[in-house]
Amino acid sequence: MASAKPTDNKNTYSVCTICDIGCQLRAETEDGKLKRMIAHDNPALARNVCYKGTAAAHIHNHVDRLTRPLKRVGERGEDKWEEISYEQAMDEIAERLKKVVDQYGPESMAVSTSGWNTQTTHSMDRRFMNALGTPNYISGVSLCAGNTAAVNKITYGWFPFADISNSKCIVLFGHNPRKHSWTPIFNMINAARANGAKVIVLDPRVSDQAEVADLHLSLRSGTDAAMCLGWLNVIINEELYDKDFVAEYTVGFDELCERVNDYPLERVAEITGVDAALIAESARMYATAESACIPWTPITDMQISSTSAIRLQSILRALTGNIDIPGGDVFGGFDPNYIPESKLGNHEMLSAEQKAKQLGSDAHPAYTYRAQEMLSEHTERVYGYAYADIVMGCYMANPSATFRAMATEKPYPVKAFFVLGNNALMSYPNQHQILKGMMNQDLIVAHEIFMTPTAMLADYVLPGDVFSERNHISDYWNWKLGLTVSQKAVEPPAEASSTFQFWHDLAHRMGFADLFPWQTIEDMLDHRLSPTGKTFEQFSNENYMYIQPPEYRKYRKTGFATPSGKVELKSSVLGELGFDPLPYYREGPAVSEDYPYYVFTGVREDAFFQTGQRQVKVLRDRMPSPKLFMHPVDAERQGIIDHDWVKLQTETGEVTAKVLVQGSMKQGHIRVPHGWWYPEMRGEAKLAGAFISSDAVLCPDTPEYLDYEQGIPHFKGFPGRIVKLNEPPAGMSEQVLAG
Amino acid sequence: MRFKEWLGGAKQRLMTNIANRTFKKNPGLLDRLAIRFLRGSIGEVPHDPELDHPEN
Repeated sequence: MASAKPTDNKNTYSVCTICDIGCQLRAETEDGKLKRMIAHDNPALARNVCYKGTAAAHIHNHVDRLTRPLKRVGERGEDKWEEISYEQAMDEIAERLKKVVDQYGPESMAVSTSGWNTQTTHSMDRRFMNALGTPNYISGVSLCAGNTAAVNKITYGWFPFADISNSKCIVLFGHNPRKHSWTPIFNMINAARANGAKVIVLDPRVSDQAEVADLHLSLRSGTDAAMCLGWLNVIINEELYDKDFVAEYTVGFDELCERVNDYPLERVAEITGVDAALIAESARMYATAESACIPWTPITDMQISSTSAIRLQSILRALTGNIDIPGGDVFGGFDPNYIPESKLGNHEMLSAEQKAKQLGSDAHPAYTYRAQEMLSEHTERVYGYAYADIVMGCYMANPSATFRAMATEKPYPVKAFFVLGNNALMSYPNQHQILKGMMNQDLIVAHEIFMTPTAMLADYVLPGDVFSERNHISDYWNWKLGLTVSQKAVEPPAEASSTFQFWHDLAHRMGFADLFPWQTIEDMLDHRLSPTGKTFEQFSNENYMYIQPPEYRKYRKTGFATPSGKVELKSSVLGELGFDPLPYYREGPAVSEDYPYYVFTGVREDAFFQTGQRQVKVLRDRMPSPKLFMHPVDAERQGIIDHDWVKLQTETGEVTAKVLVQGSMKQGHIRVPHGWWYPEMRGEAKLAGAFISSDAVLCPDTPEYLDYEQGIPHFKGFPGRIVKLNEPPAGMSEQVLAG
Repeated sequence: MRFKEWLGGAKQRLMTNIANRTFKKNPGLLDRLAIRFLRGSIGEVPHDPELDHPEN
């Protein structure tokens, strides 16, 4: 299974994939095993490490790592398996997939994955799907960064990366980079702050970043769009915008002004719960800074007005002239040294007829082929290639629509589900529907490093490799320009292998061998590096990183990759699709007597990335149990004290967790950590406790909870209630009860 | 403002070129000078005990 030999330990640099940031670390090995992962020896990179990264050896050498292909022998979800060979597994998977496709058509295959985790797919998943004829690719990036990329493209043709380190004003909409989460972003903010940058934090609670911010606006959860409209009101009416830029490079300014006038500060103050004077002061601070940036935030990604709020952030960047300048939000483009995954995916190959079947594209098209292909000729004009799949998020099916089709077979059956590096059951809204959909499959294939609740529902589970066991070059999925080398330090155990290998081997069995000529990851890396004239071996022997020197205001030469060639304050794409072409604020479902709290879910904890790592002792010891955050006034009213066990209930489900009473919380809000399950309960509780504390059961995905354009659920501020438990829940380990 | 912006851009390109020299596996004379410059401006990063884990 293994391809190239591990490199010399003395010079082994690997890109950590325990979270989505991609810090380059150093690997130390002993007797063919990863001994430890440590900080970089380059002082510019040495702070980019967190305690998850240094736990890599505990993860990669974990006794529960999957190392052999497994075939289900019990009922689906019963978690009973037999070990089989890789060859047998792949032969049987191909045979069964052919049967499903023959019976239901190619669109009956859906794939769910996370490129953060799998790293080395090189878009072979999309290439395979496009060859087969299915558009039904879903990913966690539909809720996080990928959807933002797609919506940014609709406004100005690309997804910029904030030049935080050089900025004079940084705006964090709920984003809370800290020492052990989004560490490089945290370091960039600190560097900028040391250089005199102001930081504005807009967050319901007093987060780590809010504590040290120049201005903190404690807005009501889920009201980002209203806040942005309030800022625009100040910026436009006080004429703080860049008039030259607006005149030359935007369309729809007059219509935008009219819309903005619908949101006077008094109204915005009422919606957001923030004092009008503070809103005005923060808008002025942002607009008058020498340079300013609004870095991507996972919070704006997940709201009922997400599309509008993301567009409004883009519009703020444009109106203040902070696009593509040092210290602003910078457009990267395709890296000239590396063939992008966007090309490798072969999106041209999928027919228009099959693209039209992409699930969810009828009602919520923003990140599907339907909306994104309206930009193709403009993307080609500016960037030289029609498909820009930035952060892998621009040509996706809608997850809720996909799971609904899996469960109900409407609008057509989806009967084969492939899930790679992605605990899908707990990673999207409406976990009950996801389970129903998975139980209605003819074939489920999982590719994982540990057994997860999702993998427990599969017919076949293939063991995945980890980042210290493979060669790679990271290009940040075209979000920013730069190549980071990741070198294999050790061999993968037994029959563990990469997702690249999986798609290659499946393609060869399905009759697509001609489209998959690269035998190994190194062949692929050589191909992708071909613009440099170097092989992977040559490139990685010379550099461990290469950053493309930045160029600014590139739009002066090329225009923007939109139908008008300008920044579309009024979106022609959204207008043509039948949506409001101007940004707006939409109120989320209201709290009530029955459900009196605003719940926000999807919150990341330092010790874990998404649903991962709960089985890793050194990390679990730091965070033994799930904890909700409540304000002291709310806790007192409920008769709850620190570490009480409670149930948080919504109209669709409930989460059992402990409470931490925190003065930093906004009153009336409850914060729920993401992705909790209990690997230690495997064999005792259904799907290892996947329905005890998972926040994916809480937020409905019915129309009144969904953003119109993307179909993103309102994870940030939906109604819920707290019920105190008199006894701790049954079956919990001593560590959970004590921690 | 425009000149300041131009200067900012020029500085960024220079710093990127210096950084790229420090990312070399087998640094030459100029690359080693770049590393010295970087160490001089950033300083050594002390070990952070929060990153340590006990042996399992």
